[in-house]
Order: sequence, then structure tokens, then C-alpha cells
Amino acid sequence: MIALFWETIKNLVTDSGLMHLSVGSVIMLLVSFVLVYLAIAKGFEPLLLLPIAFGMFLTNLPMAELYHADLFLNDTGHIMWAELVDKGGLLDFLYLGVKLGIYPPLIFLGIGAMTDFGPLIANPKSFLMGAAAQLGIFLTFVGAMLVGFTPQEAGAIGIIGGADGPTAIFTTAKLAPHLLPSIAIAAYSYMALVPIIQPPIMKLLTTNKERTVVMEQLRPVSKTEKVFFPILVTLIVAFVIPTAAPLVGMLMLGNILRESGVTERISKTAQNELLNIITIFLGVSVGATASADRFLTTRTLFIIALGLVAFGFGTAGGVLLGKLMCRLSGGKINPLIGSAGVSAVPMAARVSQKVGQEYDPTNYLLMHAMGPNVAGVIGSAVAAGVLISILS
Amino acid sequence: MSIDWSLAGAVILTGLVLVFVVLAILIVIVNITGRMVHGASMKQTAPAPGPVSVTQASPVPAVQSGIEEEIVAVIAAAASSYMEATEPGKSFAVTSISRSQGPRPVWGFAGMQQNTRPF
Repeated sequence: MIALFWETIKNLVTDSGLMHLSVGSVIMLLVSFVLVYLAIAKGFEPLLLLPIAFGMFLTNLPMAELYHADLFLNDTGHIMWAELVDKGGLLDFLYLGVKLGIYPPLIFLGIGAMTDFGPLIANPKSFLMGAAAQLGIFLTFVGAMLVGFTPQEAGAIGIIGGADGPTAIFTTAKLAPHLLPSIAIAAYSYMALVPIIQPPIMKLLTTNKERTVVMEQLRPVSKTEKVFFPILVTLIVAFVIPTAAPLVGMLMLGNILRESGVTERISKTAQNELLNIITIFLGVSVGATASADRFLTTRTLFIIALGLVAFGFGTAGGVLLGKLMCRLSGGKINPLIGSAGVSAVPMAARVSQKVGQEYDPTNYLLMHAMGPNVAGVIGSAVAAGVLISILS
Repeated sequence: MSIDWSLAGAVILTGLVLVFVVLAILIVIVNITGRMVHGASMKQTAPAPGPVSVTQASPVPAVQSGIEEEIVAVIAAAASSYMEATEPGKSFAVTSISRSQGPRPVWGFAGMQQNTRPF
């Protein structure tokens, strides 16, 4: 009996995580702790970064077997369903929502239910700034190819410039799922850094006179227009770019639930309980893909650098078009709102407001900047659809 | 590093053109919808042409003494925002602004409860 006892203890110790700890696992655990710190102490997009960080923490625990990358990322390119049912862990099943492209559209459903498109409807020209801000996506695509990434990988990296987490995850899961953890972490980290990245670019590209342009008050928008808007957007986008339909369609479904006024209960559910549940599942399963062999590579460093480039060019694109529109309108449009075309809602709009107020404390640009800001959500989804359509 | 420049160029050109075209179409559609909706609502609310009459100014609200003009402006703005949200297009006028009475005295509340309790 004593021998059996010692044998059992020996087996437990041999099979314990401590005995299978590798240098890579230790580094990844430390990286996950840093991300947890950034999320909690520094407030870096905590709603997603914290689940991502904890998913990373869980997946790098030796012998925990919560996630098996080979079930999803293999030579066949298909999910190994039989093996998934046989040996799949908790995070394997949660990851199905990412792999099958379910979670990002559901997040967009919640975002649509939270979004007021009134400022955009009142000033539809904001759509152009939302389009121009997607410049960062396509320029970064070229940059990524120059560095040595494949076209599909470059497309997934470029979408970081859309400053939209669900869109980045949706696109990466389709084009380059093996880069998902690096791209997701880069995307959400840079979204949190928008107030630091954008202002220098905005100030560099605008003059004092342009920054102090006061815009006319937006016209009131009727409920009828707000109800028609999601239907029209879905029709137009889905007809032209069907691959963007899941994201834009769910975004607009959420919005019509909000604006119809007759589905308040489910609108509230979409923007609260559903959004929170999907956020947890999405974050933790994306983080679970960040194993040492996939994350600790020079490619991750390139992705982080290219993500910054994407954000920078996106901001510049929006501001430059804002300058052009300011010129063409005879000084009626403040170019600073162009930077809000990156779809980090509402952070980018707040940055436009803050920078504008530095030069004229009485200038309230927030609602004007919300137009390009929400247009950018649609623009980045359209850009993602284009990339998926061309590159997959 | 050599890259497929034709593919890169095609992706950039197609991507930017399509994004701009789709959003430009949306601008046109939203503008048309806005004009149609506003045109319809203007027809409904436009008054029948008649003799020109002197329009009466909105009554000045009776404001209780001690309430500052800034407070009156804030209350009017809040009421306007709420009315626009709940009954858009309907006109209204603030007729008076006065402080609400304090909470019902405890004894009075107890008496009210006693008298309204079911038998």
C-alpha cells in the first residue's frame, strides 16, 4: 500500500504542469500578466483585453488541455470534428464561435443596438471621411506584403487599421487564423491608444485656422429616417459586397431593434446581456489561441509595428479628406472630425472633440465627429468584405 | 522583398474604389430619404394659405422669484429635448417655472395612508 501511495504521488508529480513547464510557456504567462495589468490598471479596453489575457493565461498552463490548436489549424484547413468531440476542451468549443464567424457578427448586433446613427444621417457627407479612414487598411496591406507576409496574412494585418475589433477578428479568422492572437491583441491595444496616436497626426496635418472651424448645428433627424437607414444600408452593402453582409447585416439588425421603438426588450438584451456574454466567449477563446509557438515569433513584432502604421495612415486619410472637404465647402467642415473615421467608437470622436477644444474651448465637435466615427464602422466592415472577397 | 505588385495594386484600387462607391451610394440614398421624409412631414404640417396675420409671441413663462435665468434656460432646454424625443414636431410652450413643494410631511403621509387603506 505504501508503495502504491508513493507510485501515485510520483505519477501525479510527473503529470503535473510544473514538470512540463517550458521557457515559452513561462514567457507567455508573463505576457498574459502584463496584458492583465494593462487592462486593469491602465484601462486598456478591459472588456476585451482582460478575457483575451486570461485566455492566453489558461492556454499556456501546461497539461491543462483547454485548447488544441491542431483541431482548427491543420493541413486540411478544416475543423477536425471527430477529434473535437473526442478530446476537445472547454476553450475548443468556445473557439468554434470565432472559427465559424459567429461571435463578431453577434458583437456587431449589440453595437448596432447601442449606436445612434443620427449624426451620420444628419450629415451624410461624413460617410466619405469614414471611407477615407480605411486608407490605412490598404496601405498596410502593401507594407505587410513587403515585409514578407502572404496576401491573406497581409489582408488580415491591414484590417487592424479599421480600428474595429470584431471586424479584425472576423477577417483574420477567415484569411489568416494562425495570426489571430497577435492581430487581436494589436487591434485592441491600439484602439486603447487612440488618444495618444491620433492627436500628433491631426495637428501635423491641419492648420490653426482649420482646427478652429465651427460647424453648423446638425439638423434634427426623424424616427422614420432612423428606421429606414438600417434597411437601406443592409440592402446596398449586401448587394454590392455580399461578404460584408454578416457584419453589416447584424449591425443594422441591432440598430433597427433600437430605432423601431417596439422591441425595447430585445434591444436592451442585445446591447447588454448578449453583448457581454459574447464578449467573454470571444475574448477568452481568442486569447486561448496565443500559444508560445504562435505568438513568440518575429512575425508578432512585425504585426505590432504594422498595426501602428495602419492606425496612423487611417487617421491621416480621414484628416486629409476632411481638409479637402473643408476647402470645397468654403470652410464649413472642421478637418479634425476626419480622424474619427477610424471606427473606434466613441473614443476617436472624443479625441476630435478634445483636440478641437485645445484650440477653441467653445468649439463642440463631438456630435459632428460621431458621424464619421459610426460611418467608419460601416466602412471598415465594407473594407473587410472586399478583402475577404478578393483574398479568400 | 519582391511582392506581387499587380495583386497589391488590384487590392488597393478595388478596395478603395468599392468602399468609396458603396458609401457614396449611401450618401445619395440617405439624402434622398431625408428629403422625402422631410417633404412629407412639411406637407402634413404646412398651414393653409390665408390672410397674413400678426403672429403672437410665445407667452413669457411666469418664473417664481429667486430662480436664475440660467436655470430657466436649462429647464427649457431639457423640456425641449424630452418633448422632441417623445413627441417630435409638436410645439409646446413653457408657461411657468416654480420650485416644487418639499416632500409631504410625515404626519400628513401617515394620515393619507390610514384613510386610503382598504377596509
